[in-house]
Amino acid sequence: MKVKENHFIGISGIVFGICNMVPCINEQKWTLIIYFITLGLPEVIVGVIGQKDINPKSLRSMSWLSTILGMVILSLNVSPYYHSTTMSYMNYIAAFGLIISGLYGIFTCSKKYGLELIP
Amino acid sequence: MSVETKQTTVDKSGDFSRSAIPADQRQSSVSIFVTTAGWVICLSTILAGGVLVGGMDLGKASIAAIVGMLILALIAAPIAGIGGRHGVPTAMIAKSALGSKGALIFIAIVAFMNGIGWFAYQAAFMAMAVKELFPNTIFGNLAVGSTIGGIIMTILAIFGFKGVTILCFIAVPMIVSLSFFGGIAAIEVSGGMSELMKISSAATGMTMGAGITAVVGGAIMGCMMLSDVARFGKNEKVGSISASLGYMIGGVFCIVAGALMAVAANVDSIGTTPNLPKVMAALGLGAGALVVLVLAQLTTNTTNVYSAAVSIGSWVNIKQRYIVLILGAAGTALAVFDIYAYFIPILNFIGTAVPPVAGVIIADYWIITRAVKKSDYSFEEGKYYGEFNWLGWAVAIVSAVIASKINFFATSFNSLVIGFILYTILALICNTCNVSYMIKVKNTNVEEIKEA
Repeated sequence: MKVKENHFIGISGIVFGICNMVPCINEQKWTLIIYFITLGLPEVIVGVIGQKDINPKSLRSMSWLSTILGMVILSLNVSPYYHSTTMSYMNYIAAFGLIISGLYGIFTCSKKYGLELIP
Repeated sequence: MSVETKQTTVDKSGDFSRSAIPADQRQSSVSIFVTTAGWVICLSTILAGGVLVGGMDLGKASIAAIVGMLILALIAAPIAGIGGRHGVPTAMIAKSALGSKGALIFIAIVAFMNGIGWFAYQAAFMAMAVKELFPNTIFGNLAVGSTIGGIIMTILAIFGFKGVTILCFIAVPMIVSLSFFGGIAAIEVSGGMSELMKISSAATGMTMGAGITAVVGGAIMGCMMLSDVARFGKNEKVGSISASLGYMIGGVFCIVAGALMAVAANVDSIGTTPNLPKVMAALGLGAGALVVLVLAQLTTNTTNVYSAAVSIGSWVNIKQRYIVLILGAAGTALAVFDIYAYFIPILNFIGTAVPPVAGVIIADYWIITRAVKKSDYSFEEGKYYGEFNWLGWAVAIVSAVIASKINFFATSFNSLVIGFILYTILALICNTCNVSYMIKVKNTNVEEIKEA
């Protein structure tokens, strides 16, 4: 059974993953660059892979990845150490975007495709 | 391979605390891995890293963490494998090994320790952590913090394994990520890894053996109850490997992250306990640190009270949610009234006395039943397990006494190994001499009686 929502979740992942990496432009601290890339790049990669036909279980996994990465980005961004001094708003956009799209995907998998909430 | 049970499974107690998990409700290896990782990823495990670097350098602390958690994984695997194979909790496995009355003693102790004792300790510790972060607010009041924390944990545990799993599924990756980034921050703040190693080299006074002891002793009780989670695994291999790997990897990661952060922050401890909230605040982790602390305590303590309720539910015909409510209320009350402090010496004593029971269970199943008798445990409804395995309990008590006299390695680990070896030898002798060590009620009208 193929799903339709993967395109939306995948594009959200690509957009918000890139969003999270944009602050690298102005950043000098290597620790923040690691933060931006390690939390943004996987989302972009999964978003690209998720554009092909996938089943509901894969959609669920993709959605959970988005949700959890979004929560991690949000919790780091509110800390003084990992707060970008110039473009933190990009990380906030990435965080909320990923969380909302991820929750939408999880909700769809549960209600529309009848899957358990967690893999 | 999962064993097909012949009974009609009726989940009377809720969450299958008295019967095997049906095949269609088993979960993936990822779920098992994440849940057991969540079980060990907690404040006390992160603190263990801080304790280690209080007495040894970073390199030795890392080795102690890896060796200690590897030992625990090797202990966890055979116990979790039984749960994964048969789909039953630790309490029911204990019945087969120790008899109904014998297992009742074990479960009562564990339920007291995990469900009330450790619950109270961790709820109060979470309140102390919150107090450090919000000293001049209502949350800075220990009684308020303990009450709120205890209530939240109890409510979460009432929803059973699904609720715990969802919480761990969200919390574990967050805690792992925040610990990872905390470690990165620690390295950068200190001026690099070599500088961090130089700073840590000033710490002395703890031997490698003592360090491994601290790691093993602090997590062995959770290790013994892993069947409560592994029973949801699809088969023996999934239950065994996923549960033990999750426990080991989660533990090592937490300890090393805690060590890195403690060295970099260089914050005074509270007594002998590293002040982790202040460590994270000193590194600039802020609100993210609060999330780590609160989620770590929530996942571990929820699992504690859940596991205790599952164990008690295998004996009493009460819905699991009511058992959780009672245990959570008692633990919260203890935390609020500061009585938990008096339980620490008791918990330390039980930490030596209870592990040999796990050694007896491992020996009884894997050596005596599977290897020697070429048989297996069975858990049909109405099965008679025997009353009391006097040999098992005698070995457990003697092993605990012997281990307490040995000043080598970890007392809790030593008592488990001694219990395993002694029970294997003596049970084989009893079997050879046709001496029964399982007390049974005479003239019991059952189809199958376990022969010792």
